[in-house]
Amino acid sequence: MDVVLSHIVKRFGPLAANDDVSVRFAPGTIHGILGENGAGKSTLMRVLCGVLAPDGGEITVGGSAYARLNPEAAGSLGIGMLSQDPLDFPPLCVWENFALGGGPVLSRGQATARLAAVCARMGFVLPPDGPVARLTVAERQQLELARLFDRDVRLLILDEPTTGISPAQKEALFAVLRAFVADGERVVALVTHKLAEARELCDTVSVLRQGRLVGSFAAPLSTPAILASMFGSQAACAAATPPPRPDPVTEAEALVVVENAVIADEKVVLEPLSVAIRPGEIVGVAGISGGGQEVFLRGLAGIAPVVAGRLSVAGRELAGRPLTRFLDAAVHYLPASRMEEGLFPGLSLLDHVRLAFPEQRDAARTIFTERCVGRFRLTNQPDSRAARLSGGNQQRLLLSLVPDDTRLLLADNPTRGLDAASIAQIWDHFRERAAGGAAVVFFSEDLDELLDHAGRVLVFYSRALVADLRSGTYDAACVGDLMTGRVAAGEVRP
Amino acid sequence: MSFEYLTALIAAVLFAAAPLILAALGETISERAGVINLSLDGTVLFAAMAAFAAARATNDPWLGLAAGGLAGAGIAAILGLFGLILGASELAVGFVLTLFCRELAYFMGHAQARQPGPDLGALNLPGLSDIPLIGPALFRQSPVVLLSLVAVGLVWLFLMRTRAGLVVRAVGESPLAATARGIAVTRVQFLCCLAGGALAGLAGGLYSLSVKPGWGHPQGCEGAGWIALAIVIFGGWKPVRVALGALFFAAIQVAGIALQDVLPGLSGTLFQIAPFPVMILTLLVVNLRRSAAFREAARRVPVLGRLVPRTAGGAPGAIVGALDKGF
Repeated sequence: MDVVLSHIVKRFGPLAANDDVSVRFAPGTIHGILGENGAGKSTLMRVLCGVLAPDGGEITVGGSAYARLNPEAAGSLGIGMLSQDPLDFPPLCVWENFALGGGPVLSRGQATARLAAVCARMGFVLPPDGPVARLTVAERQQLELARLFDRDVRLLILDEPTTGISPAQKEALFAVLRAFVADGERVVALVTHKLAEARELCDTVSVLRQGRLVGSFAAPLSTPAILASMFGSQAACAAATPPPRPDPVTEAEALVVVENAVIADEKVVLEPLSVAIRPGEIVGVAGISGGGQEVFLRGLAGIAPVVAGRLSVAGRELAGRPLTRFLDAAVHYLPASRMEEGLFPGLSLLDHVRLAFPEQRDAARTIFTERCVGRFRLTNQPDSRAARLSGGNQQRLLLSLVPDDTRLLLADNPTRGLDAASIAQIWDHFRERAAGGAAVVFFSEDLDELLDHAGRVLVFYSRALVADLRSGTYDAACVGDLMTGRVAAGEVRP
Repeated sequence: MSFEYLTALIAAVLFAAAPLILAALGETISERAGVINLSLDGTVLFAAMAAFAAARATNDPWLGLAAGGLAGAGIAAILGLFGLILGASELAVGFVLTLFCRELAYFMGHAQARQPGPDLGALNLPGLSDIPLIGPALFRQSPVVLLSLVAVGLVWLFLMRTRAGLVVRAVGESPLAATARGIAVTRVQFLCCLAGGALAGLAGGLYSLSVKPGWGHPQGCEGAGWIALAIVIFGGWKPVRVALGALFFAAIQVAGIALQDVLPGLSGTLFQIAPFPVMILTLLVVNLRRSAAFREAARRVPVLGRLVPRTAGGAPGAIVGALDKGF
């Protein structure tokens, strides 16, 4: 099936998320849409599958041109999309999700029979009667793929499909995609910000930057040329050379001591765990969704209560104590959903400064200019509301509000959805903090990023801490196997 | 306690619960599709007036009941028009509607006040009525009891076992995902809102034509809609548990009346208001157990820890946060 996007324009207010973008998806190919976060990749794909109506341009599918599509029309033309966060119904059963495939709703008998048929063909294992909420991200992706394959989708769009799955699961997914286009007729559009993934899988690549198409490449894909078009020539050099991995800290006395602690969040209770973290360490917490790694961070932050065992920071016993004690002990937490959990959308940036440094209320404007703008390179006006901040500036503001004497900094997905410049700034800042004697503990869904920046990795699987690995003793495949439970901790030997 | 007394108690509980069950089932359908209909209390009251007036005009209580259902659907249509199609806040519109319907019901029902009128009477099915204990409670009494129990089965069947019900649940869990799969989300929500309103309207009819017969100021069904709203949360949006919640509330009301005979020293008002705090406390206990932190802490208490129940289901995704605390 031949699909062509011509001169697509999509605006959100003053921002042009897609500005005159033209791409052709040729039959029998895997076509990569590359670009950093915010480049307009997802917007383009949502236009293609009918979720967004474009402000200009047209979509040509198999020779007929359309000014816009809706999800139903796109579905009947054979266009299907696997979203980054699977668009499914978690409380419903697997077969119920499958029955709501997009066409007429299937009966239970039909749904289970056809699901079994697709699973047998693709090698998926999906028990039809369990709720989707209990599946892993990889299984939810498989369920979505099974649904789309059952509907005989011809153009399959995948938006960042490797986020939150292990390297082994990624290999399996890529094999499925290669088999999918093998008939020379069907097409895959793969949206990604990872060049390595595109090089591994794609036949052709289109690169977007700030909403515009800035380059098109065909295999063999050359790394420097693509990087230059993704980031601009200067930033490309920086992006191509990751900083050296921090060395593990083994000397110093422990800053954080956790002993047989049971951390209970609202929905999840972790198995008892023990770990010690030293000042100057940058610790990455790895795990797939449901592993419990976010709960661990929230437990260290004092948000999820420690209901049994010990937790002490710098000698202060904090288990079961209120959040204010954690703040007194200089523990700070950066949430993954910055706007919902971290900021007050309706308050001005200056109000945020006043709230963060209450004893220096009068100096708020000075603090804002010197600290937020000067040191953290925040580019907004002090009186603008937090709701208007971009993702990068939200994180800059949050970082600038964390006091300098913080001893334990916890960060849940600190770089999610940010552009390359912001990401680099955040890692530089974390290294600075660690060099200054603080401990940094973070979780990232992106395993490659996590391994690049952590000097030590704690792996969570099925709500338990299963491995504590020091830099140099592991690789991505080994951590991936641990966090999906393919091997138990005892089987890994450096 | 004699056998006849027990039978009478069961009959009284089923009778008092019947309209509550219908109203709560209606709200369940509506909320399962992601529409919170706060006009429920006004709907029940207005439909009670409409049903009684229509029954008097036609001298047929069943036509009156149908008119109640239509009135309920009409009020829900107003909510759907403003909340779903014109994009107003459905909570605000629903709340104002409930106040508006209340005033309108008393204004338009002025001519019906304290007038005699037809009612739904009582069944007496030969054979079935002679089953001990439940026979008289179900088959030798007002038809509203059978009606409400049949409705529980039908709503459960519809939501949990039909393809249309699956679409309704999908829309309520994630309108976004439903849209992406080509489901006409607004249409499904509008229809569910109408169906929910119609059931609430029937509940109003049951009050004025059977449970609290007649019309007056105040009508005995005032506040029933609010209770039904709470019962839906109590029942975790599951039709059978919602019905059990309604029966539970009716049981505490009836128990209050029965206790009045046993403890004549206590004020009657106490027994009238007791069901409400009991309901709130029960709601609290039912919801607390959804918190993992609470369960983990409670599990460590000796003996009592064993009683800590398993997790319960939460609110439909589309209305999480509005009614459910997201435990």
